[in-house]
Amino acid sequence: MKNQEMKSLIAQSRKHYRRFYRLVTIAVILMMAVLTGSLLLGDSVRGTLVQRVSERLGKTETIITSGTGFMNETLLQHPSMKHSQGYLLMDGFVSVGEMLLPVYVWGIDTDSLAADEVMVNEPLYAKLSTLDSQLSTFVLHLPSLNLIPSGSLFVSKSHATQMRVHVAGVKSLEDGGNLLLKNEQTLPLNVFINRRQLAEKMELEGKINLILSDDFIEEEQLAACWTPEHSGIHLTDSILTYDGVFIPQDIVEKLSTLNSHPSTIYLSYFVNNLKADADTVPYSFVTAINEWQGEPLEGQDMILSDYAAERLHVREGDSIRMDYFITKQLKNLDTREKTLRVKQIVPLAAFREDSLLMTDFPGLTRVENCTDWDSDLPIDMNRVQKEDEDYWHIYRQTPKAVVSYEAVRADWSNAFGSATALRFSSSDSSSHSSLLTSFLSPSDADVRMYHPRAQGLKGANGGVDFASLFLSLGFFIILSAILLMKNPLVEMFTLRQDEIQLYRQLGFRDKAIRNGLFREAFSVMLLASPWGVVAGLLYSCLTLWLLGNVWSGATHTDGFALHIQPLTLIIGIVVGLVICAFTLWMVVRNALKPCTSHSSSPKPHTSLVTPLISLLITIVLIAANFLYFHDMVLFIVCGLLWILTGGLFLRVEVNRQATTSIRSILNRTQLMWLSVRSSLKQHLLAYWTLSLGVFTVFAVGLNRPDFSQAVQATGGYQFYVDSRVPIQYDLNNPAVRKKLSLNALPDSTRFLCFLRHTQDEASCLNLNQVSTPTVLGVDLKEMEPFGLITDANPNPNPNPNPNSQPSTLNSKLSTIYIDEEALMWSLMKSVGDTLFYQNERGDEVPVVIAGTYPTGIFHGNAIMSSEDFRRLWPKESGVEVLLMKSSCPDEAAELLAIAMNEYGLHIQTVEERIKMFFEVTETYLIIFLTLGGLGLLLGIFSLMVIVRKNLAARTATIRQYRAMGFSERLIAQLLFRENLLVPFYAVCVGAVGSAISISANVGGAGLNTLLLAFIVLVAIGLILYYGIQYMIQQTINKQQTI
Amino acid sequence: MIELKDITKRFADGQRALTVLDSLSLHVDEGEFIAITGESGAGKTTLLNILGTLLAADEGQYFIRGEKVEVSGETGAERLCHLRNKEIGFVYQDHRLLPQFTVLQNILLPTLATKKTSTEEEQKRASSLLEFMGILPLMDSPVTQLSGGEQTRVAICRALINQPAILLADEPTGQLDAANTQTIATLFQQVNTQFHTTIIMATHSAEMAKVAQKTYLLKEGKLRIEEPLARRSQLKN
Repeated sequence: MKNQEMKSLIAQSRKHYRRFYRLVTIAVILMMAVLTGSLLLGDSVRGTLVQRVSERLGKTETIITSGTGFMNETLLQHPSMKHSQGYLLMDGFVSVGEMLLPVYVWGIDTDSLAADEVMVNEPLYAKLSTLDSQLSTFVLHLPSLNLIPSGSLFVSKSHATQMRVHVAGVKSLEDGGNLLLKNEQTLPLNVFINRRQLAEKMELEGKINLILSDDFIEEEQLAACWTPEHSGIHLTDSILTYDGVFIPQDIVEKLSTLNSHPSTIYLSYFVNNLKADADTVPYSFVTAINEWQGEPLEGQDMILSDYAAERLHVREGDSIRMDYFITKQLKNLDTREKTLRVKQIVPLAAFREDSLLMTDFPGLTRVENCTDWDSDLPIDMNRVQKEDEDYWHIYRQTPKAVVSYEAVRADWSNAFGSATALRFSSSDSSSHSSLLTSFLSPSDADVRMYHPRAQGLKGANGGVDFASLFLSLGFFIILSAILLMKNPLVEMFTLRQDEIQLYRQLGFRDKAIRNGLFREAFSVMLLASPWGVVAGLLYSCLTLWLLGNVWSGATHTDGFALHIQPLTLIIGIVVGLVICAFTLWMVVRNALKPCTSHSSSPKPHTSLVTPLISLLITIVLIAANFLYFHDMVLFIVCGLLWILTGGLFLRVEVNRQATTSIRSILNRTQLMWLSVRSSLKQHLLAYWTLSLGVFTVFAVGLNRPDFSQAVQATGGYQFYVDSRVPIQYDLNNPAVRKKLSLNALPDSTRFLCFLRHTQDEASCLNLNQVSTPTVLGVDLKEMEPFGLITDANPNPNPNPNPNSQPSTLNSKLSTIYIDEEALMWSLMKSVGDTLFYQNERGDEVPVVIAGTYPTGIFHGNAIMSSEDFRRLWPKESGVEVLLMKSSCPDEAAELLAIAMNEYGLHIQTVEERIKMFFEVTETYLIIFLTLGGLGLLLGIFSLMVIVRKNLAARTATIRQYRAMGFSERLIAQLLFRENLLVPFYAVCVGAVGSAISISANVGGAGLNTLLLAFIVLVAIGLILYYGIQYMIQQTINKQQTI
Repeated sequence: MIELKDITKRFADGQRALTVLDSLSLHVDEGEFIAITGESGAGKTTLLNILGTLLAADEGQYFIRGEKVEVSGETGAERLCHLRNKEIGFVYQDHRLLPQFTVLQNILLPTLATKKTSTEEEQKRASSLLEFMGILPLMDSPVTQLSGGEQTRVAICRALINQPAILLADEPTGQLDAANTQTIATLFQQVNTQFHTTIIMATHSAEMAKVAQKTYLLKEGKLRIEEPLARRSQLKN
């Protein structure tokens, strides 16, 4: 036969069987739509995240930061920095009424912003407009950024300063309004202010802490243009000083390895008392040095001023006790005392000659009177005598004594440095300067650079795979579409059995018949596939819109843009057609199989033993789980067992009813059972499909952990507090509470304080790939209530976390603990894996994941011991995260918010915080429930096709019933009962199974969701009821008209 | 017993109407056994369907025992169901036995049209009919395992379970061999004589037509009585 003729025959067959092919076309379009649409969603989310990288970075190729310190703006004058901008960037917050909005404050070089004028970016403007549509001014709170880090001991101004600003304009996205250095898809809230005015306000004139360069700057280029002077390290007349007062210990140690190392190390301190017998000199500056006038100062040596010797009535060789405060964590003070020996008494003028013995501590030194001293130290002004004031008026911070550096170095050094000045022996300052420049690198002064674009793109491209996610969520639609495609094909080929036999009689080989039928049906699928792609585009557009609006809880964005990759479309079409071809091939193959004899069916199962055993096991497991285990997975297993038991019972009961009716008097119920048994295989297939469909959709959709009730999720605390400004105090300390006006807090109020090293957001709120989550530092023992178990725990939990591993994997390694969900989904790592963090020295430090803790309020954060934390990031000494519990929680929270309003505290209940994370899961579950429900409806529709096929096969039966005098109503009733029995049973068993599976979290879904699920179930029942009834009526009416 | 007056039935054939039965009239007495012959497509099945109240005539009137049979209307439909169940039995060429049921269940099936459960009396009657037909041992067998002749006998049993006055048979031996045809013909004759059942049978088979008391030829939509074959052969001789 000519090809053209064959084509014509195929076309005619297609036309003849168009009522079947219409359904096949719909099914192909649906399947292709979900398949291609899901792949397009993946592309679109990835494309949008990549786009966000460009939006948030602008043209920036290189970022240079200065850690807790600052850089001089003169660094920008270097030719390598031609396309670079200097910024003063700080975390601030905006207060509008009672609302606090955390913002990034960017000090930028601009002439367009006058004093107290700011520009805001579009997201912030939108947010401010919702709070107050007429808003043109607001109060901007800025953290106290000083040259001397707020974590060091002699600084008092550690909270925020504020300024009322006027919104001069809105900085658009194109204009770089959405600048953000973090790898997140959420839009930042940015405030832009004139850098010079900001610097002036913060007393940071000429300083910057961030450089963004449009050029790709290499490490060598930075090293070539950077000098220590740019980081505030000054070398004048062989004297090295630092803007931050304390010269970092690394630099001190590094310089000591030089041949021409510093000859004298200075470290000034404020001591409480110098005592000798009954005489005391209170509150004095004392400087530690390693040599005095060329002679090494060692051991307990002290050089005393004659002024002090006179007041203390001591001579050379006498002992003097010196006590001073040392800081433990969070400026918790401890007093240490040292006994020193007076090696030499010198005139006070000798101390005054060396200016390096005197250090400028703002708050202490820049005051007129001792009584004006302003520091964190609890200075008892009653002890300050007239002679102390007199000394201050004349000599200010001139030390009263000089002590051995070695004797006090350990006590007086802090995270920021171990010296206040260095003196080189040679007077050749220029040679020292050039040596210093070549010897020190930018990283020694905390100046680091990185190239954010590559990191951002890596994070965006490796982020949450929405293609896989939506393929999983839409799995039921795809499955139902395949069923919808298969059923009409099976029905059509069953009808065409005579045609197939005829072909055989005419001498066609089976292969030729198979190919012919395949070509005919596949041509329909091919024609439908482009429409499927179009539908896929619509599906992805609709889903993207929903993700940006109704389902924005899953993504925390304002939406995604559609990105179409031709390759994705091709993959979608090819995969779709492969599924179509496979389904079709199986159907055609079965259609050509010789019919099996009816009498050869196996002996029916009528024994109740197996289903009863299954039921017993299910009940025992459910009871045991309720009483002892309370395990969610076990409840799901119980639900599945229930469905299995239901299936076993159905099979046995149908066979039993049908078998026992053989000899008994016939009744209509037996008619139903016998009819069901005659197509038991099909009915069982319908049972498994519907019951498992209902189970999966509802069990997954409603299984929402009730975190708020889980003690381990909250540790028993009531509030989670996020401080925009690091808190340098221990709020459990009564003295601190008094100092911060928190003494009205109930005594029962307890705080758990966390240090924070901010890195990537690893919670479910971030769609980008995460490599190093933010680290919270705390005493690990405090984490026991949160289910974090370490081997150091002397009282192990009776139900230890199975994922926990000893933290002594390697005693030299730092270890962290990450919550289970973040570890699995955001990091895709497991316990024992290593992450690499950059410590403050700029080194990549391996940190081992030692264990997990149940997901709760710390979701997305890594927990580290305070010791490890301080070792890696010693300068990050302030508390940024607090937990609070109190007997009067609301009053305590209110008082905290009022007393510490300058810290930009974001106080939320633990329930609110958990709900915030849970909103993501909840939204995904709603999406699953929606798409699963659609899939289920489609599955029911394809079940209707099976029912229709069954009814079509019962034409002769219907005619016979009519001929025998059965009324139409009775025929409809009989057919209705036999066709509805199994689907209804399946829906009921599936619903009970899903109810069992959610027993562990029955409160998690909430009443509304449960009610919605119930309505959906009723809707499924009604659709089945009326759908089957309608089809039966149609069939009967059709018979009447024949 | 049965009276058809000027029955006309047309079917649509594309654009035009095809008249299958054209002002056809028929009178059948109680206990009479008539055979209707005719070419394929002559309208025999249509006539039987009208007699069986499964199909309404376009024109004309139908009386059973002098009562007019109305196929349309809701109450009419209920009455017709009752009529079909109690007064009329059907036997088809393809038997139309339901494969999911056993022989006995198939036979008892008509008893469930008006009530929920069959009675013991009906079960006994079914056994008697099976015995009458000579297939009692097959009572519990699935119908799919029966031969064509056995299936026809089961179909006759089923048609007789409610002791109908009228038995309509549409080519009951169309798929049987000569020996089985002869057996079934005898059975029909016995049913007619023993149960005094009025039988109207459409057939192509001369053997079957021979056992009827009257034979009609359906041609061009009208019935024409034919001499019984036995008499015809006698006259010929």
